Amino acid sequence: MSTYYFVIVGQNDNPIYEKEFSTVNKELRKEDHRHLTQFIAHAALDLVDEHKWKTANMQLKSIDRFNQWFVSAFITASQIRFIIVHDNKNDEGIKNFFNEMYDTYIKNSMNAFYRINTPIKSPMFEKKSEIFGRKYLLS
Amino acid sequence: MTMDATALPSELLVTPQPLVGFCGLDTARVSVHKAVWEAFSGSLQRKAADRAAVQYKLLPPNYEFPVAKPKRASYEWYHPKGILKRNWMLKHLHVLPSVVVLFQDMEWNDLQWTEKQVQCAAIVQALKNTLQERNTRLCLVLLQRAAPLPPGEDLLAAERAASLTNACGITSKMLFILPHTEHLTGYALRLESAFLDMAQSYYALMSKRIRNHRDQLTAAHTSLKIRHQFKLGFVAEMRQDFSTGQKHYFQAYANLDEIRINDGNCLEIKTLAGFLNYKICRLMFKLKTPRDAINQFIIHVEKHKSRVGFKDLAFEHHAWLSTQHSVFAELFCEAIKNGLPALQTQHPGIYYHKAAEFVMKRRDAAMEAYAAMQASSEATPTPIQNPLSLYTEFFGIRAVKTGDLVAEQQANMQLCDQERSYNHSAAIIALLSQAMAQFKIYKCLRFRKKLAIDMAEEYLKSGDHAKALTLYSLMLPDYRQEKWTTIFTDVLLKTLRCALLSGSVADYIACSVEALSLRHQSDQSERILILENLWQVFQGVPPMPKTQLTPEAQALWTSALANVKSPIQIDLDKVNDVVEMCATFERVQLSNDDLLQLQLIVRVLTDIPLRIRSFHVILADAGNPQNSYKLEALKYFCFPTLTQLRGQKQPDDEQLENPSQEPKNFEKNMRLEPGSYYQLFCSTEAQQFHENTQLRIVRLEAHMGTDQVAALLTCSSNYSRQLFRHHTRSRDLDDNVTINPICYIAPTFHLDTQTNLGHGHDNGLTDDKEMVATKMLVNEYFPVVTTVSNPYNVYLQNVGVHISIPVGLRNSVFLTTDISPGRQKLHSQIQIDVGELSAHGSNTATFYIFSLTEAEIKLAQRLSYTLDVDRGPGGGGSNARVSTAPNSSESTPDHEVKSVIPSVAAISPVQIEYLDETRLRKSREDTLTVRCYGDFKFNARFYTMDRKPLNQVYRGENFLLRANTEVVAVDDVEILDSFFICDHNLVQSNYSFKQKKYTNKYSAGEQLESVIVLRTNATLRDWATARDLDHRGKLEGKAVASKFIRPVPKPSSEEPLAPTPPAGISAYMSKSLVTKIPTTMTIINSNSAVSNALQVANAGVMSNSTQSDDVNVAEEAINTHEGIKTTRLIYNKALEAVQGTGHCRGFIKKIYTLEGNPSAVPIFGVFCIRWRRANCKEENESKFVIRGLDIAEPPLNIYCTIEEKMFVKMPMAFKVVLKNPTTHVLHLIANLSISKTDNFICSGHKQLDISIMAYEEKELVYNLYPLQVGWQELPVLSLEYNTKADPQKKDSQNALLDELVQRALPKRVFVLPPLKQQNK
Repeated sequence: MSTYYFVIVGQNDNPIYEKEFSTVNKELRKEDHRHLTQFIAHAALDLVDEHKWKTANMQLKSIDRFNQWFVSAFITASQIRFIIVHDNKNDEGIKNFFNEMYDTYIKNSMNAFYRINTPIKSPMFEKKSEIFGRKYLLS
Repeated sequence: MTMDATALPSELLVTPQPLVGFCGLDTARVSVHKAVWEAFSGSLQRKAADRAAVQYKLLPPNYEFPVAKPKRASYEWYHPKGILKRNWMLKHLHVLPSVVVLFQDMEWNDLQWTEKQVQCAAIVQALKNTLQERNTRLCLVLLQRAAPLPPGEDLLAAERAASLTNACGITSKMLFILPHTEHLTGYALRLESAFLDMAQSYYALMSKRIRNHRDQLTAAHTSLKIRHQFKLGFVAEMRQDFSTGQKHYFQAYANLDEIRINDGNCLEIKTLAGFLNYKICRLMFKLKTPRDAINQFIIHVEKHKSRVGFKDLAFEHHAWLSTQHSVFAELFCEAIKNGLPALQTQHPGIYYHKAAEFVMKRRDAAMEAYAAMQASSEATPTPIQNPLSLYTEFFGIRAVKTGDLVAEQQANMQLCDQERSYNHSAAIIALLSQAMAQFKIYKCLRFRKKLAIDMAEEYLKSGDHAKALTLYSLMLPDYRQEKWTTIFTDVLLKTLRCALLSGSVADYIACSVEALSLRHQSDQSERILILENLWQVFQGVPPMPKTQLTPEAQALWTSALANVKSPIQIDLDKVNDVVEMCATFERVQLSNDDLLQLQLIVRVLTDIPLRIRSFHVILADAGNPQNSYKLEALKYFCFPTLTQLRGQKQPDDEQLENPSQEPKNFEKNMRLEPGSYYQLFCSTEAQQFHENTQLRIVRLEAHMGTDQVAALLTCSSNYSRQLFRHHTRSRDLDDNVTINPICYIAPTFHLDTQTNLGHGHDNGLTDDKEMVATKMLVNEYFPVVTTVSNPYNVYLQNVGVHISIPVGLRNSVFLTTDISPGRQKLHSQIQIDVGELSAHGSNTATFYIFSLTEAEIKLAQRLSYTLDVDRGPGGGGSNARVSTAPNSSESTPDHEVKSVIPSVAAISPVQIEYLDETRLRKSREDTLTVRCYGDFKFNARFYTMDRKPLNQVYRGENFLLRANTEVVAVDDVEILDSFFICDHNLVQSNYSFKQKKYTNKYSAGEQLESVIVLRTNATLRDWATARDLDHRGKLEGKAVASKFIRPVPKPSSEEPLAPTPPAGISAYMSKSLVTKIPTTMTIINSNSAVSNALQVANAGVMSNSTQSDDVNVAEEAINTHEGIKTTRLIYNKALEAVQGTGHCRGFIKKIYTLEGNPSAVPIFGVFCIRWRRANCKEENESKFVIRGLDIAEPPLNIYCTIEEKMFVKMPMAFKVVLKNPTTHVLHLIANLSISKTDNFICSGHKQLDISIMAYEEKELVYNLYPLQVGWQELPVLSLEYNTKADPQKKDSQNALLDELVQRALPKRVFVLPPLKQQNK
């Protein structure tokens, strides 16, 4: 049983994309942990801001732990932060997931009609996220 | 027992220190004993850094030491019931000392030494009996008054010491001397170190004895091993050997893993594991290995967090975990206080937070356990037992018989009852507070917000809704700013719930309005429900149905609604997704009598309709933000889409499509549909506001609710356009609405003026030809007629015209309204008071401009008046449609908005000044431009009598001044007269044959010429001014230009004295003036000038009496010879002054003396031209200053007189006068040579030796008889010095004489033909 909450946070600490991956029934898990994982992701931004100046790597790895929840982070050159709140160790999968989602995000941001720091509503982005989530996180 | 799991014992938390017991001290009655006790254990002394870690205890008499247990021969059959006894640490920390010190008052020379020795031996024996089987060290201290003598000198002390030790049965090392002198503290320190050594040996022996038991233990004695290791660690800490202590504690912790855990011993093992973990981490922090401490703690928690124990007592497990985390956090804080740096990822706040979370789990588990207990024990009554009944002598073990299910159940029930009385919320809140403090220190601000939310939630669960609401309200703006919608929605809903439960009407309404926003992630049905509840509150009814609200909350809401303070303000700038509003002025600038109109664009951004009671716009004066006005929207248009709103902006399209469309009336509580654009109109009269005012839209208000309870949705008018905008398919209001945030109320000026400048004179006496544009000339009093008119229906008072001259022309241009001959008042500024002007009235004012320079004159004209204004609410013409009065005191402008918009400067040139509440003064400045043209062009030269240019003049010599005047006036002028007023050092006479008669009119380009004969009787050194005498040396050697060309006369402060029009014209001009009030005085009093001139002239007369006689004689001679004398009328003030001073010409001298820098060349005089315009009677005068030449002392003065007309064959006298101005006798030779043509018959001396005495004259007379007609050469007279009589003269001086002769004598004459009578 594993649950992943993926969020892309903009430059003003505003979420521009949210996605939850889970191996169990989504509705059941969503009822219990939706707000908690979001609070954890928001609170973990403190540590992301602390770590981003200490390494030249975009992968910040696991930066925080909150009871049974781990927080892994990825930060882009334009200060867009990718955060996953998860309850089991999967460093390799999360790393690959971040790389793939970063490519997808770059392609989406090149769209002339998409404005940076606004919510991502692209169906293609949603589809890619679903594919990479099942491939790297839930397998 | 619950205590074991919820708190560590106090003896575990302190640092172990050796215990030393004191006997024989009576601190209550003996002061010496008290001083000794203070020296060892006083609080002041203990603060020193060099004091050892020792704990002192004052043992009372007959103190009973704990009895030692008998030693076991073997541990084979010994199985203890527990691992660690409760009283063991307490015993060694506070009960059983390592050293016992006995104090006795015994002097070596005491008379009762034998008795005291026996008594002391008895006490020592008693102590030994009490401490039997113990290794406690014993020592004896003798209190003496004197310091001990050096060893070997005091034989009595040595003898008695040996006797005492033998009697007491102690060694000499156990005997000490403590003299209680002024150095008591020093002796005490040395004794303390001795005590410490004895304590160390005691504890070392204790460790050795404990360690010996290890050989007797087998593998089955695991608990004994743990006990022994714990004791060894504890004793090592006593000995200050922290490294060894840590090793022993760690070994004990490792031995705990060897015990098989079951539900029965789980509590004991966790308790001891907690103890050992605490000791290990504490020592690791002390030994500067914080990383090991953190790792040890993490391993500790991971190992034990799954060991719950009894299922029914799961809350105990969570309590234990919470205690572990909070205690470790405190250790961490203490280590940081001692200098340990912490990181953002590792700091005490993390552990405080985990401790709080475990208390939450503890509460949940306790509630579950209590519910289960209640279900299973309903049939069995619960006996009330004493909590101490569960107490045992071992840590972590309860007095419950194993296997007795009934007893176990009763014990669990008792523990549950104790747990219910515990306040979990208070503990959670306290821990969260400490965690928040730590997270703030280490700059984890987002996590700190999460902790605040957790704390608020805890307050909500504990029933303290007010505090929960306070915390949620504090956090709401932060999460709103973060724009994380999901989190914000969660916090908002909780805030709304707190407001509901605490009966806070304002917070409930504010949260409800914010919850209507689409940003709130909920369904439309939920928003409808929120809106319905909101309107129930507006109507004074509690928001929820009675079935869903508790009676207490119901009563709370009823009471709150009765006392609510309406309206409740909601700032839409922060909650900006419910209603969108922006306002604009219809026009940017308005007149005072126009209609002020505003447009208010409103759009509901949510998906449910809202009922708005009214809309208001708050205006403010940009220059005076204190005044504010509230206007209400009364009319509106509704547009379903933005396209129609944009289309409404084009009136032509509107007329074509909807010619009869009218705005509708806005009704109370009108329903605004979502997505539609509403255009509302506000209008009022502009004259309600002050003139010269920039109105600014400050705030927009939407009133929502009922009379009883209402909400005021306010937003600022800062509609800022984005500088960089993205392309959006849905167009914004920016593209469709023009925003005019400021409207200017332009003031009305009620005066119009017209002048005659460029329009000719209004003078009735002038001809029609002069009605065309008349040019102003220099030295002329030019009239200016100003007509002031009032074209409005307003009664004006105190109308005034203020004329002023630019600063640059203050010394050249003057203004006046009085041109009478007796009052010469010239100003730089004049004020003409017109008085009062009724509606459509007008009046005229006349003044004169006098200029000395040829320039374009720009006069500054200021028109001002006062009028009555009525600015009250009931003022004339106020708009009845405005529901609220202006100057409303209820509304104040938003200070944030005021600081954003800078104040714009006034645009209109009209200045408004309020005298009082009902009167104001208005003024406006204009510019009058008039061009001043030149009148004459003057040119003057000096010539000798033979008409050659003159560079230097000799004293007593006659020379010519030739004045050429050219008329440059654009209009025809009449020249009345021209004359030269010379300095009193000069004598002038007319060159009669050159005099002309003046014609009536002169046009531009015509020229005049005057020739005047001048003679001076003084050189520059003798010029009659005291100032010249001081600068005599500067005058020599300076040449002066012979040509004086001054197209523009030089300005002088004295020249305005000259112009004097006739009295008749002055009397006529004064009638045209309305009023005259001088504001600034630049008046030159002519009477003062005259009196000054008289004084100076008198001084001149006294100093030049001798020369005056000469002047008179010379002048008389010339005039007599010429036979011409003229007498003319004097009209000019200057000439009158000359006559008044007795012909001494004092004013010219005054002109000279008034100059700041005395000139090297004197002023010979002033050339005056009296003139007037053609066909006008006003006379004017132009003056030109004539500067003089260098005047030298001549060797000889030569004068020549000859008849003006000569006729053929008629004898004529030719007279030459030679005057000697020097003090020496002159010897001259005069030769008269007749020309070759033989035109004259000459009689007289042809060659004559002349001797002239000092200051005498010699006259040579020749009779000439002309023989030919026409220009004839006169006989040539030559003079030379008689070198025979005066050998000092040389040839160069003869040349000078020749020059003088050439200058003085004419060379040719014109001989007329004979008269007709003779021809007959």
